[in-house]
Amino acid sequence: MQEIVEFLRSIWGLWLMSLFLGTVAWAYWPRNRDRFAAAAMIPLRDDPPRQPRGQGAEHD
Amino acid sequence: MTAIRSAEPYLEDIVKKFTVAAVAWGIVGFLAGVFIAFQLAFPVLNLDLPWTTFGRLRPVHTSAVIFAFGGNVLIGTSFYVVQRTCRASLFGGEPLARFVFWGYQLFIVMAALGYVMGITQSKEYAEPEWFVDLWLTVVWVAYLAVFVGTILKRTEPHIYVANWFYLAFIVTIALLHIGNNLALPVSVFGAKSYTAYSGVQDAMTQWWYGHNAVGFFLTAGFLAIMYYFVPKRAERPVYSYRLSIVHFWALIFLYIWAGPHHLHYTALPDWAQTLGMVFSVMLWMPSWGGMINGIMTLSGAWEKLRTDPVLRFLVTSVAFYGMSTFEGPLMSIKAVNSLSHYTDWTIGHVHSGALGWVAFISFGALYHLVPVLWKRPGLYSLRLVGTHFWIATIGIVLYITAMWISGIMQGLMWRAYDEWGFLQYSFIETVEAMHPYYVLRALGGVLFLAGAAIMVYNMIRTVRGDVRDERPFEAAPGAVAAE
Repeated sequence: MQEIVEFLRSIWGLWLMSLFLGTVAWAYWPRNRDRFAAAAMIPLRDDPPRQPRGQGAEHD
Repeated sequence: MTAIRSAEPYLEDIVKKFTVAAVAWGIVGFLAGVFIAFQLAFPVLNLDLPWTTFGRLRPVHTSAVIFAFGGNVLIGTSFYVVQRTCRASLFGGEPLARFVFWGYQLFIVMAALGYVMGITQSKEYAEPEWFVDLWLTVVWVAYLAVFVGTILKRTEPHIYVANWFYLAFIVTIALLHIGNNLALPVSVFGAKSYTAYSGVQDAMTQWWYGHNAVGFFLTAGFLAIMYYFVPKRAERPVYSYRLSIVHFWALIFLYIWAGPHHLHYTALPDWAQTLGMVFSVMLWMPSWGGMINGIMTLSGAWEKLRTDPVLRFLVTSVAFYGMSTFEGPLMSIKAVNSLSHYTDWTIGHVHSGALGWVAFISFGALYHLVPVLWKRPGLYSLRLVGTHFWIATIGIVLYITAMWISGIMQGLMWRAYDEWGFLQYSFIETVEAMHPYYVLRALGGVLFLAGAAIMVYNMIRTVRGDVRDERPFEAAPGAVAAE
């Protein structure tokens, strides 16, 4: 057990690298494209709800 | 897109408080900086009093600009951004947020009074003694609760990337603060304490703290501001949201290892120095990834730089970020560090980051926030924002060029040998040689302070609801042909 742990710890660079590659793969996975494109719009549609119900064109 | 509405209104009064505090502390911090810059050029300004010596006023300057100015900007904008991007009002409501505000201001006042009185644990950027540290811990945990609580009650399904950066900043600062400040007080009612670490462990813990304070307070936190305010002001989404994800994780994983570069050629083991150097150089990549992401957000809308000086502050800050995150890895290389370490080059590097990146992005965010928070149609004067921009930029350029020259000169003089192998210069000769550059640096600081004073005037008039009669930046469509 001790040896396994020590071996795994000695290749920490590999873990860090695979974690990084995993992040890149997740970020650039084609299926995630629309999700992230929508997320990028969040700051642009963040105005506080000011109007009371019934006014304006929005529907709840 | 579905219209999601939060039940409670956003709390903006608390953001106003942080905005006012940030501007006020900013002036105090810049003023302290200018004063100690003149002290270095003209030592008579130490006034021969213990309370006004450079040694005591320097932490007043650093804490005022980093923790008081920067900290209030960070907490204030984080409260603003988290509510809007999560579509939820602050967790804990007005009372908890108010506790964070007044608790944090009390921390600042206690710390500053301590420095002037000579109460310090002598750890750079972590000077406050144990009782102030304990108080900050309480306030910080409350801050964390407000922020995480708001994220948990969000009605927006996705957590926007700015909030990731804010959260990384809050969590890591908590960790660093507690880790580095572990100390044993000498008595319950006395201010003095002794750190839990000794020797090289103490040095390494200190610079693990110190460098990650740069990484997570002055970088991650302000990157959160970049990821919200640059798209907001440019009215277009960030250049690549996917790049922002890679930027975030790469920055978080790499920064934490870079601390040992502050301890090159010391008692720290060689392997640790090399580790710090390698990670510092690698850090260049996520830093520039983030810079490209921020600047390219303007792609297709570059003309806004000409017409909106607030956006100019934001984008120039990102350019300074790119510059100082290129310089940093360079200086962390041991061969370069052997010349630059302990010289003014370091001070110049820090200030290109602090004035160019941190302060400029803060000014941009504050200029954007004031009319929004006080419900004014716009700023009192955009022209004055432009004046502030140029005065401050010239100030920064004067400052950093003076420090580059004096720093490299200082490093070269220290390592110069004569034909018999003796040191060519005595230490005092290097100090004398730096005098003109110290004067130049102080003048750069005066310009930067003058710019900030213009900002204060502009903001006060904005809050009062005044609009300056001036030629607008954006020419009316018909006016172009007439010119």
